[in-house]
Amino acid sequence: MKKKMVNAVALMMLGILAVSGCGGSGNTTEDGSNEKTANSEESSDGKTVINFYYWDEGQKEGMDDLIALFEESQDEVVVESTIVPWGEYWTKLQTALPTGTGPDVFWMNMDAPTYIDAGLLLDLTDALESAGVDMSKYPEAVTEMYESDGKIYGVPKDYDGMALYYNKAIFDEMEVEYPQAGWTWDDLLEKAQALTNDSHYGFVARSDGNSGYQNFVYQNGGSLTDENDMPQVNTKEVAEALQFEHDLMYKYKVSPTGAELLEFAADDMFVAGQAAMITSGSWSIQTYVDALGADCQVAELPVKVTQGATTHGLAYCVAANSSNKEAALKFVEFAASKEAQEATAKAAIPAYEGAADIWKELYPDQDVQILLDSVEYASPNPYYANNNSEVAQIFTDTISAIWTDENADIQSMLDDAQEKMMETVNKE
Amino acid sequence: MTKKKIFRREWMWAYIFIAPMVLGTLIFGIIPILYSVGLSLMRWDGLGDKVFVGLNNFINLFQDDKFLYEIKNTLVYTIAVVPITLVLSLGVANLLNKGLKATGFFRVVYFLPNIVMPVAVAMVWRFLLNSKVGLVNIFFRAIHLPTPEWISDPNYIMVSLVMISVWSGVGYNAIIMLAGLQGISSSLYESARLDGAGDIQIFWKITVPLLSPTLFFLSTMSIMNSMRVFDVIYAFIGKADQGGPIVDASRTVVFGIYEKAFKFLNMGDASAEAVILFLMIGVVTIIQFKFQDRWVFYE
Amino acid sequence: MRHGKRRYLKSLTSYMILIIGAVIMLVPFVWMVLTSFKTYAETVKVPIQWLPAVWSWDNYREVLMRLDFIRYYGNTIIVTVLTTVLMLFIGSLSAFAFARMNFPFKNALFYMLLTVFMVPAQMTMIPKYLIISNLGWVDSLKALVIPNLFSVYTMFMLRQFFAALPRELEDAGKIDGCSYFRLYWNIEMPLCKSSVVAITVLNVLWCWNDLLWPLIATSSDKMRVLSVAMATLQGQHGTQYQLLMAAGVLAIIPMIIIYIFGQRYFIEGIAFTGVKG
Repeated sequence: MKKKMVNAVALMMLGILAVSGCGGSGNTTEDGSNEKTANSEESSDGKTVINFYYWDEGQKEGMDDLIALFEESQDEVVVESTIVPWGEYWTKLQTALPTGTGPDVFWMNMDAPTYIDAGLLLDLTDALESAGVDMSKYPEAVTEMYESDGKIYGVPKDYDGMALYYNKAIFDEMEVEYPQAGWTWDDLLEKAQALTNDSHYGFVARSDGNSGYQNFVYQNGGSLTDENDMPQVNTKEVAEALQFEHDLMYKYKVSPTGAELLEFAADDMFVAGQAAMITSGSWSIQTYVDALGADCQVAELPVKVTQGATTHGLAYCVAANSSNKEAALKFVEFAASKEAQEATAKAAIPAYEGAADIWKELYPDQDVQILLDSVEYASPNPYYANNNSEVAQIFTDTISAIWTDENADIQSMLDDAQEKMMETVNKE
Repeated sequence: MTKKKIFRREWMWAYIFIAPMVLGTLIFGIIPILYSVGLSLMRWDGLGDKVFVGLNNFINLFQDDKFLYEIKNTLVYTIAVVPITLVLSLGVANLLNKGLKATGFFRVVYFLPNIVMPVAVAMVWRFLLNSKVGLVNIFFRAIHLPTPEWISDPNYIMVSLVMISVWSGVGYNAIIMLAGLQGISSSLYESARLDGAGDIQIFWKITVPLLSPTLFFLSTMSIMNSMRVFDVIYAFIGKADQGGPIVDASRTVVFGIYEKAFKFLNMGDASAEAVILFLMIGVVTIIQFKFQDRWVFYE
Repeated sequence: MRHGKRRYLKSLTSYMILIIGAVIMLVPFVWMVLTSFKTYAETVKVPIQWLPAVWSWDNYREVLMRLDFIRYYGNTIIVTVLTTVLMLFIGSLSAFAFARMNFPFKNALFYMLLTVFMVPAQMTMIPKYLIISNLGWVDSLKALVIPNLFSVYTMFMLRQFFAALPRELEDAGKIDGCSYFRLYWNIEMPLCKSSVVAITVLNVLWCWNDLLWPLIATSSDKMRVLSVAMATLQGQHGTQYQLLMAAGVLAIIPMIIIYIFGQRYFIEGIAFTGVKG
């Protein structure tokens, strides 16, 4: 008995040694990437190692292909990629970037201005120019997102198309004609009414901005911000658009209400055949088609005053305090090329002009050109001049309240929101 | 050896024994806390430079309606979850300590909810609590109970969150209580029974006093953990496009801290809120330690 | 005879209560397992479809293909074993000192340790990260293990158990000339065996599921643990419930095995501590 315990103590001590000793030596010998040093990192064969973060596990194949192509194209830089879960991506960047222990290259989205202001993104203007990257090859709506004071901070990776998806089987069952190009809000309402019965709704008035209400606001000629990126949410255009969606839910009862959408995710309802039509971005098509097959079809978004849609695009950015700037620049320059963009085209519409054919071929049964074309008339998500996320949250709160309240007085709620948003945008 | 020497030897050994714990906690626990107390007086987006702003962050906080919801929800949650969980756990632990057959099986089953990751827990419960097709309401309908909208009604969301927390907490606490119960000698029970004591008497006269150190530990820790609840709430309502009444009815202090620090990039306000939470938990804990003499019985 | 009948009724009630509780505990778990065999369309079907139309291992296959489970299991096991063993040693040693020994500033030090429970982990994460990055530990095994070794929870719990042991033990130990360490190791730890096993099981579990710190402290795939890998399955747009559930089931299998083995010690614990009193 006693002997056993002595052995156990010895084992524990060994454990302590393992952590302090083995752990230490393992780090320095294996390869440089474990321990970040101030100077550039080198792999065992003398190549420079750069770290690359992205969040979408569904794009792993494309990213691996991109890295493989890049490593083939030259023999000085190798890329070590990390998928950081979406839920924690920004927390991770926020802790790692300022201390210089973060990635050299990473995906960014519309939050880029915050990082640009904090001086964490490298100005790519000169490097891109000398590498001969032609920025006009990418959609303007995307390049704009990563520009500040005429400087470029990101290389566009992809963009989102927006469309109305519909379930053909429900249309056939209810003998309703499919949506045609140029159809209007009135047509949408009419079809939604004809498609609604006990087992399914005609339409999903989703409560998120990007794929939901923002599109209606843009179609009504409105915008959530003015030209100086100040909030401007209590205009007639915005109120009308939201009233239309509110009516779909509560007056005509052709869409699940806000409360129902808290219980069932909008996408799930469409996939489950609980709703015949839904607005969504190009990122949804794979899920929808996997579940519904050729019954899932794509139509243009309806029109009110004008054609309108939201778009958004991701970019590759470089850390301002990267210790391997040159190598990192090499990688993003490569990622900007048509060849590289085609390699990553399977999971998202590549930003490079004309590189989308591979993506289109994945969906032969759907008219996906509609998604590609929507970027022509699309506007970006609102980005408020100051305290963006906090201001945006006020609007999200207002939308949630409108969506769940049958008797919502939309105009006065928007007036309140406008006041609070102005207060917050001017804070500090 | 003089008495003094003996004491000094005891001190020395005691300090050696606690040294790793104290040093480690200082470095990875206390210093970070002091850092965050410092941040509560700054304005900092977590990315750029820090600016000293005095008590401004605290003033901001008390002008914010959402902060008041957070305090209220946190207290409601704690007051509901802690006693329900502890009472149920004590019952379960007692039943599992009776030496019934298949106890081993039950121990595994009651422990299962702890093994599942919080994200999966939230997801499963979202299905089960669905007001139309969820199992809970199917069952409630069958036995003619009301069938509320557990997930989408602001009046019920906190009830749902409490239910889930109790569900996942019972097994956890029962395990620790079981360990405490097993430390109670069976001869004590036998002699009490010979003296003619009934089950209830035995429970109050023997089980509870002898288990009181464990119960004290569990109640202190449960309160601290409940006041810092985040995971289950975030997994349930933390989706980016949610807000409004349903979130206001379920947001807790740590939810607010998280939102301020990592969504609004406002580390100063977040730290100020953390300092207030620190004070709240501190006061409750001091009260608990003050009153432990009245009911906690160390041999 | 009558006595026997009452006893029988009593244990029948106990069983009934335990079984009802067990069903409540099990239902979500069963749901999780069933979901892991469904297709995405089946998971969102209304009215609810209880059983998958086809029992296929596709989701498991896909998860295993997409995530390098073997590596993540390996990493998680290394981190969990190192952390929990050292955590128990450090925690129980200090628990013994706080419960059984007298020294200046005892209470002050104890309360100081407790303060770590008064601040949410989200707040201390950034300074903790600054510390490990100054030490040059980012993305290493040290960063995963060392900051987590100092479990005040373990210390507090075992202190309560040590404090409940009879005082005579100590005097006996002193007369024998037992050193404090031997008193701790040879007498009190074995007496608290069942609580030591219990806290270890809980620590293993906590370590196994911990997401935020491993995610912040490491970045390379070499250092990735299971919880972080699984979090990547939750995308920005919607969740493939069936994949997440399959991954969840795969992740908890080792836990269940460990727990079932741990059972043996729980039962032994009764026999062992039964002699004292």
